[in-house]
Amino acid sequence: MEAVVALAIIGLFALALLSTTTAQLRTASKAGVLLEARTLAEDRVSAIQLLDYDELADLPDSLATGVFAPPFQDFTWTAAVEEMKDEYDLFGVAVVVTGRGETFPLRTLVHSPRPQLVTTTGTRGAGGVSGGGGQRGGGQRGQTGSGGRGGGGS
Amino acid sequence: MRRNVARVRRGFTLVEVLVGVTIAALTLTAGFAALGFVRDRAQAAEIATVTALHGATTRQLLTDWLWGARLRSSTQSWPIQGVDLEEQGVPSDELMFPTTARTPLHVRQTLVRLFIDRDEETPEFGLVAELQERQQDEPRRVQLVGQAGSLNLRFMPDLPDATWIDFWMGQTDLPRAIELTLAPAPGDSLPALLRYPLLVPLGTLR
Repeated sequence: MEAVVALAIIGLFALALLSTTTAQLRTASKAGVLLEARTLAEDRVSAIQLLDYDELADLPDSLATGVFAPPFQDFTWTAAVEEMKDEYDLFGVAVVVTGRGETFPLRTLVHSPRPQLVTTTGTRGAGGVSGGGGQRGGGQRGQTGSGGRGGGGS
Repeated sequence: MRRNVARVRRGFTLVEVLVGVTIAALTLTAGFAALGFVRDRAQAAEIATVTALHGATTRQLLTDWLWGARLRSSTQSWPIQGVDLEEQGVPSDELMFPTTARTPLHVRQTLVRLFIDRDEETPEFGLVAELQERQQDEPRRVQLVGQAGSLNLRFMPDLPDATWIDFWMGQTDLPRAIELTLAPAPGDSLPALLRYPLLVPLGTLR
Protein backbone atom coordinates (compact mmCIF):
# COMPACT_ATOMS: atom_id res chain seq x y z
CA MET A 1 0.00 0.00 0.00
CA GLU A 2 2.79 2.41 0.93
CA ALA A 3 4.59 1.61 -2.29
CA VAL A 4 1.49 2.32 -4.35
CA VAL A 5 0.99 5.67 -2.62
CA ALA A 6 4.66 6.55 -3.13
CA LEU A 7 4.46 5.67 -6.81
CA ALA A 8 1.29 7.70 -7.18
CA ILE A 9 2.96 10.72 -5.62
CA ILE A 10 6.00 10.35 -7.87
CA GLY A 11 3.73 9.92 -10.88
CA LEU A 12 1.73 13.03 -10.08
CA PHE A 13 4.92 15.03 -9.54
CA ALA A 14 6.33 13.79 -12.84
CA LEU A 15 3.11 14.68 -14.66
CA ALA A 16 3.13 18.18 -13.22
CA LEU A 17 6.77 18.63 -14.22
CA LEU A 18 6.08 17.35 -17.72
CA SER A 19 3.07 19.61 -18.24
CA THR A 20 5.05 22.62 -17.01
CA THR A 21 7.90 21.86 -19.40
CA THR A 22 5.43 21.35 -22.26
CA ALA A 23 3.79 24.69 -21.54
CA GLN A 24 7.22 26.33 -21.53
CA LEU A 25 7.96 24.69 -24.88
CA ARG A 26 4.69 25.95 -26.35
CA THR A 27 5.38 29.46 -25.11
CA ALA A 28 8.91 29.49 -26.52
CA SER A 29 7.69 28.26 -29.92
CA LYS A 30 4.87 30.79 -29.94
CA ALA A 31 7.24 33.64 -29.05
CA GLY A 32 9.53 32.85 -31.98
CA VAL A 33 6.67 32.61 -34.46
CA LEU A 34 5.01 35.80 -33.20
CA LEU A 35 8.31 37.65 -33.40
CA GLU A 36 8.63 36.73 -37.05
CA ALA A 37 4.97 37.52 -37.70
CA ARG A 38 5.37 40.95 -36.11
CA THR A 39 8.37 41.75 -38.29
CA LEU A 40 6.48 40.63 -41.38
CA ALA A 41 3.48 42.75 -40.39
CA GLU A 42 5.76 45.79 -40.03
CA ASP A 43 7.16 45.04 -43.48
CA ARG A 44 3.63 45.20 -44.90
CA VAL A 45 3.00 48.48 -43.09
CA SER A 46 6.22 49.85 -44.61
CA ALA A 47 5.00 48.86 -48.06
CA ILE A 48 1.66 50.56 -47.43
CA GLN A 49 3.44 53.73 -46.25
CA LEU A 50 4.93 54.08 -49.73
CA LEU A 51 1.48 54.52 -51.25
CA ASP A 52 0.10 57.91 -52.08
CA TYR A 53 -3.29 59.21 -51.12
CA ASP A 54 -5.22 57.74 -54.04
CA GLU A 55 -3.64 54.33 -53.63
CA LEU A 56 -4.39 54.33 -49.93
CA ALA A 57 -7.99 55.25 -50.62
CA ASP A 58 -8.22 52.24 -52.93
CA LEU A 59 -5.67 49.70 -51.75
CA PRO A 60 -4.16 47.65 -54.60
CA ASP A 61 -5.03 43.96 -54.49
CA SER A 62 -1.35 43.06 -54.40
CA LEU A 63 -1.09 44.74 -51.00
CA ALA A 64 -4.49 43.74 -49.66
CA THR A 65 -3.68 40.07 -49.33
CA GLY A 66 -0.95 37.65 -50.26
CA VAL A 67 1.71 35.15 -49.32
CA PHE A 68 5.14 36.23 -48.15
CA ALA A 69 8.19 35.43 -50.20
CA PRO A 70 10.63 32.69 -49.09
CA PRO A 71 11.77 31.95 -46.44
CA PHE A 72 8.36 32.95 -45.05
CA GLN A 73 6.16 31.31 -47.63
CA ASP A 74 4.10 29.69 -44.86
CA PHE A 75 2.93 33.13 -43.69
CA THR A 76 0.07 35.03 -45.29
CA TRP A 77 -1.25 38.52 -44.73
CA THR A 78 -4.39 40.53 -45.16
CA ALA A 79 -4.36 44.31 -45.01
CA ALA A 80 -7.17 46.82 -44.81
CA VAL A 81 -6.98 50.61 -45.05
CA GLU A 82 -9.74 53.01 -44.15
CA GLU A 83 -9.75 56.77 -44.07
CA MET A 84 -10.25 58.12 -40.58
CA LYS A 85 -13.51 59.98 -40.36
CA ASP A 86 -12.55 62.80 -38.04
CA GLU A 87 -8.97 63.29 -39.20
CA TYR A 88 -7.53 64.90 -42.27
CA ASP A 89 -5.51 62.70 -44.67
CA LEU A 90 -5.10 60.09 -41.98
CA PHE A 91 -5.66 56.44 -42.71
CA GLY A 92 -6.12 53.55 -40.33
CA VAL A 93 -4.15 50.51 -41.42
CA ALA A 94 -4.86 47.02 -40.10
CA VAL A 95 -2.56 44.16 -41.06
CA VAL A 96 -3.10 40.57 -39.97
CA VAL A 97 -0.31 38.06 -40.48
CA THR A 98 -1.17 34.39 -40.16
CA GLY A 99 1.13 31.41 -40.23
CA ARG A 100 2.46 28.42 -38.31
CA GLY A 101 -0.69 28.28 -36.23
CA GLU A 102 -0.45 31.85 -34.99
CA THR A 103 -2.09 35.13 -35.90
CA PHE A 104 -0.57 38.56 -35.37
CA PRO A 105 -2.75 41.65 -35.83
CA LEU A 106 -1.12 45.05 -36.19
CA ARG A 107 -2.90 48.40 -36.34
CA THR A 108 -1.34 51.73 -37.11
CA LEU A 109 -2.06 55.13 -38.61
CA VAL A 110 -0.59 56.42 -41.87
CA HIS A 111 -0.63 60.03 -42.91
CA SER A 112 -0.62 60.73 -46.63
CA PRO A 113 -1.60 64.17 -47.94
CA ARG A 114 -3.99 64.59 -50.78
CA PRO A 115 -2.52 65.42 -54.18
CA GLN A 116 -1.99 69.14 -54.46
CA LEU A 117 -3.02 71.00 -57.56
CA VAL A 118 -0.90 74.04 -58.37
CA THR A 119 -2.71 76.79 -60.25
CA THR A 120 -1.10 79.43 -62.43
CA THR A 121 -1.18 81.86 -59.55
CA GLY A 122 0.70 79.40 -57.42
CA THR A 123 -2.02 78.85 -54.84
CA ARG A 124 -2.99 75.45 -53.69
CA GLY A 125 -6.01 73.88 -55.21
CA ALA A 126 -8.05 70.96 -54.12
CA GLY A 127 -7.08 69.56 -50.81
CA GLY A 128 -4.72 72.32 -49.74
CA VAL A 129 -3.00 70.53 -46.98
CA SER A 130 -1.76 72.20 -43.91
CA GLY A 131 1.77 71.07 -43.40
CA GLY A 132 2.05 69.85 -46.96
CA GLY A 133 3.92 66.77 -47.97
CA GLY A 134 6.74 67.46 -45.62
CA GLN A 135 4.69 66.09 -42.80
CA ARG A 136 4.51 62.70 -44.35
CA GLY A 137 5.99 60.09 -42.18
CA GLY A 138 6.40 62.23 -39.10
CA GLY A 139 3.34 60.92 -37.41
CA GLN A 140 2.89 57.73 -39.25
CA ARG A 141 3.78 55.41 -36.49
CA GLY A 142 1.35 55.00 -33.71
CA GLN A 143 0.96 51.30 -33.68
CA THR A 144 -1.49 49.89 -31.27
CA GLY A 145 -1.52 46.26 -32.27
CA SER A 146 -0.50 43.67 -29.74
CA GLY A 147 3.22 43.62 -29.51
CA GLY A 148 3.51 46.50 -31.91
CA ARG A 149 5.95 49.34 -31.51
CA GLY A 150 4.27 52.13 -29.65
CA GLY A 151 4.96 55.54 -31.10
CA GLY A 152 8.02 54.41 -32.91
CA GLY A 153 8.01 57.42 -35.16
CA SER A 154 9.52 60.74 -34.54
CA MET B 1 0.28 -19.46 16.65
CA ARG B 2 -1.22 -16.21 15.27
CA ARG B 3 1.90 -14.26 16.43
CA ASN B 4 4.07 -16.64 14.40
CA VAL B 5 2.01 -16.11 11.22
CA ALA B 6 2.25 -12.33 11.59
CA ARG B 7 5.98 -12.58 11.96
CA VAL B 8 6.17 -14.66 8.78
CA ARG B 9 3.99 -12.18 6.73
CA ARG B 10 6.05 -9.04 7.65
CA GLY B 11 7.87 -7.44 4.63
CA PHE B 12 7.54 -8.21 0.90
CA THR B 13 8.07 -11.40 -0.99
CA LEU B 14 10.74 -11.52 -3.69
CA VAL B 15 8.06 -11.44 -6.41
CA GLU B 16 6.45 -8.34 -4.95
CA VAL B 17 9.79 -6.56 -4.76
CA LEU B 18 10.65 -7.53 -8.33
CA VAL B 19 7.29 -6.34 -9.62
CA GLY B 20 7.64 -3.08 -7.70
CA VAL B 21 11.16 -2.45 -8.97
CA THR B 22 10.13 -3.30 -12.55
CA ILE B 23 7.19 -0.88 -12.44
CA ALA B 24 9.37 1.84 -10.94
CA ALA B 25 12.06 1.24 -13.57
CA LEU B 26 9.53 1.36 -16.42
CA THR B 27 7.96 4.52 -15.04
CA LEU B 28 11.30 6.23 -14.57
CA THR B 29 12.49 5.20 -18.04
CA ALA B 30 9.33 6.51 -19.69
CA GLY B 31 9.49 9.69 -17.63
CA PHE B 32 13.11 10.40 -18.43
CA ALA B 33 12.56 9.66 -22.12
CA ALA B 34 9.61 12.04 -22.25
CA LEU B 35 11.51 14.67 -20.30
CA GLY B 36 14.51 14.37 -22.63
CA PHE B 37 12.30 14.70 -25.69
CA VAL B 38 10.57 17.75 -24.31
CA ARG B 39 13.88 19.28 -23.26
CA ASP B 40 15.31 18.80 -26.77
CA ARG B 41 12.25 20.42 -28.27
CA ALA B 42 12.45 23.27 -25.78
CA GLN B 43 16.11 23.81 -26.62
CA ALA B 44 15.32 23.89 -30.35
CA ALA B 45 12.47 26.34 -29.75
CA GLU B 46 14.70 28.53 -27.63
CA ILE B 47 17.38 28.60 -30.33
CA ALA B 48 14.74 29.50 -32.92
CA THR B 49 13.44 32.29 -30.70
CA VAL B 50 16.91 33.70 -30.05
CA THR B 51 17.66 33.58 -33.78
CA ALA B 52 14.40 35.37 -34.59
CA LEU B 53 15.13 37.92 -31.87
CA HIS B 54 18.58 38.59 -33.32
CA GLY B 55 17.05 39.13 -36.74
CA ALA B 56 14.26 41.36 -35.46
CA THR B 57 16.55 43.55 -33.33
CA THR B 58 19.08 43.97 -36.14
CA ARG B 59 16.30 44.99 -38.52
CA GLN B 60 14.97 47.41 -35.93
CA LEU B 61 18.41 48.93 -35.38
CA LEU B 62 18.93 49.52 -39.10
CA THR B 63 15.42 50.92 -39.43
CA ASP B 64 15.96 53.34 -36.54
CA TRP B 65 19.26 54.57 -37.97
CA LEU B 66 17.71 55.14 -41.38
CA TRP B 67 14.68 56.93 -39.93
CA GLY B 68 17.12 59.21 -38.13
CA ALA B 69 18.68 60.04 -41.50
CA ARG B 70 15.37 61.39 -42.71
CA LEU B 71 15.05 63.96 -39.95
CA ARG B 72 18.24 65.89 -40.68
CA SER B 73 18.32 65.56 -44.44
CA SER B 74 17.92 69.22 -45.26
CA THR B 75 20.51 70.62 -42.85
CA GLN B 76 23.29 68.10 -42.70
CA SER B 77 26.38 68.42 -44.82
CA TRP B 78 27.04 64.73 -45.37
CA PRO B 79 25.33 63.15 -48.33
CA ILE B 80 23.33 59.99 -48.33
CA GLN B 81 25.28 57.76 -50.59
CA GLY B 82 24.47 54.29 -51.80
CA VAL B 83 27.24 52.80 -53.90
CA ASP B 84 26.64 49.90 -56.24
CA LEU B 85 29.98 48.14 -56.04
CA GLU B 86 28.89 45.25 -58.24
CA GLU B 87 29.94 47.35 -61.22
CA GLN B 88 33.46 47.33 -59.73
CA GLY B 89 33.43 43.55 -59.38
CA VAL B 90 32.64 43.54 -55.66
CA PRO B 91 29.53 41.45 -54.96
CA SER B 92 28.18 43.90 -52.42
CA ASP B 93 26.99 47.47 -51.96
CA GLU B 94 27.79 50.20 -49.45
CA LEU B 95 25.61 52.77 -47.78
CA MET B 96 26.72 55.99 -46.07
CA PHE B 97 24.31 58.26 -44.30
CA PRO B 98 24.18 60.70 -41.39
CA THR B 99 21.74 59.87 -38.65
CA THR B 100 20.42 61.56 -35.57
CA ALA B 101 19.30 58.23 -34.16
CA ARG B 102 20.93 56.88 -31.04
CA THR B 103 24.18 55.07 -31.82
CA PRO B 104 26.95 53.63 -29.64
CA LEU B 105 28.80 56.96 -30.05
CA HIS B 106 26.09 58.80 -28.06
CA VAL B 107 26.48 61.98 -30.11
CA ARG B 108 23.93 64.28 -31.73
CA GLN B 109 24.67 63.16 -35.25
CA THR B 110 26.57 60.13 -36.46
CA LEU B 111 27.90 59.32 -39.88
CA VAL B 112 27.14 55.65 -40.55
CA ARG B 113 28.82 53.54 -43.19
CA LEU B 114 27.30 50.10 -43.74
CA PHE B 115 29.37 47.60 -45.67
CA ILE B 116 30.45 43.99 -45.84
CA ASP B 117 33.85 43.57 -44.22
CA ARG B 118 35.99 40.94 -45.93
CA ASP B 119 39.28 42.16 -44.47
CA GLU B 120 40.75 39.28 -42.50
CA GLU B 121 43.05 41.63 -40.60
CA THR B 122 40.17 43.33 -38.80
CA PRO B 123 38.38 41.58 -35.94
CA GLU B 124 34.97 42.45 -37.40
CA PHE B 125 33.50 40.62 -40.33
CA GLY B 126 30.20 40.34 -42.18
CA LEU B 127 27.89 43.35 -42.10
CA VAL B 128 29.80 46.07 -40.26
CA ALA B 129 28.85 49.64 -39.38
CA GLU B 130 31.54 52.30 -39.17
CA LEU B 131 30.45 55.16 -36.95
CA GLN B 132 31.99 58.63 -36.84
CA GLU B 133 31.00 61.90 -35.26
CA ARG B 134 33.24 63.89 -37.60
CA GLN B 135 34.76 62.79 -40.86
CA GLN B 136 38.33 63.21 -39.56
CA ASP B 137 37.62 60.99 -36.52
CA GLU B 138 38.82 57.44 -36.27
CA PRO B 139 35.70 55.40 -37.01
CA ARG B 140 34.27 53.03 -34.45
CA ARG B 141 33.44 49.70 -36.01
CA VAL B 142 30.45 47.63 -34.93
CA GLN B 143 29.83 44.14 -36.26
CA LEU B 144 26.10 43.79 -36.94
CA VAL B 145 25.71 40.47 -38.76
CA GLY B 146 28.77 38.26 -38.78
CA GLN B 147 27.29 35.69 -41.15
CA ALA B 148 26.45 38.20 -43.88
CA GLY B 149 28.36 37.77 -47.13
CA SER B 150 26.76 40.41 -49.31
CA LEU B 151 24.59 43.50 -49.07
CA ASN B 152 22.33 44.57 -51.88
CA LEU B 153 20.76 48.04 -51.88
CA ARG B 154 17.91 49.49 -53.87
CA PHE B 155 16.54 53.01 -53.75
CA MET B 156 13.18 54.34 -54.80
CA PRO B 157 13.30 58.02 -55.85
CA ASP B 158 10.64 60.25 -54.38
CA LEU B 159 8.93 60.78 -57.71
CA PRO B 160 5.57 59.72 -59.10
CA ASP B 161 5.65 56.25 -60.65
CA ALA B 162 9.30 55.84 -59.72
CA THR B 163 11.01 52.48 -59.99
CA TRP B 164 13.82 51.02 -57.92
CA ILE B 165 17.41 52.02 -58.78
CA ASP B 166 20.70 50.54 -57.60
CA PHE B 167 22.55 53.64 -56.39
CA TRP B 168 21.87 56.94 -54.67
CA MET B 169 23.74 60.19 -54.10
CA GLY B 170 21.89 63.02 -52.41
CA GLN B 171 22.98 65.97 -50.32
CA THR B 172 19.47 67.06 -49.42
CA ASP B 173 17.15 64.66 -51.21
CA LEU B 174 16.20 61.40 -49.67
CA PRO B 175 14.87 58.43 -51.54
CA ARG B 176 11.26 57.56 -50.86
CA ALA B 177 12.44 54.18 -49.62
CA ILE B 178 15.54 52.06 -49.22
CA GLU B 179 15.59 48.29 -49.46
CA LEU B 180 18.45 46.34 -47.92
CA THR B 181 18.90 42.66 -48.68
CA LEU B 182 21.51 40.51 -47.00
CA ALA B 183 22.79 37.17 -48.21
CA PRO B 184 24.87 34.72 -46.20
CA ALA B 185 28.57 34.20 -46.70
CA PRO B 186 29.48 30.98 -48.56
CA GLY B 187 29.06 28.02 -46.24
CA ASP B 188 27.23 30.12 -43.68
CA SER B 189 23.59 30.71 -42.90
CA LEU B 190 21.58 33.75 -41.93
CA PRO B 191 18.55 34.02 -39.67
CA ALA B 192 15.43 33.99 -41.83
CA LEU B 193 14.47 37.49 -40.74
CA LEU B 194 17.81 38.82 -41.99
CA ARG B 195 17.50 37.10 -45.35
CA TYR B 196 14.14 38.81 -45.85
CA PRO B 197 14.53 42.24 -47.52
CA LEU B 198 14.32 45.22 -45.16
CA LEU B 199 12.12 47.96 -46.58
CA VAL B 200 12.47 51.38 -44.92
CA PRO B 201 10.24 54.24 -46.10
CA LEU B 202 12.06 57.58 -45.87
CA GLY B 203 10.51 60.06 -48.27
CA THR B 204 9.72 63.50 -46.91
CA LEU B 205 8.29 65.25 -49.95
CA ARG B 206 5.58 63.78 -52.09
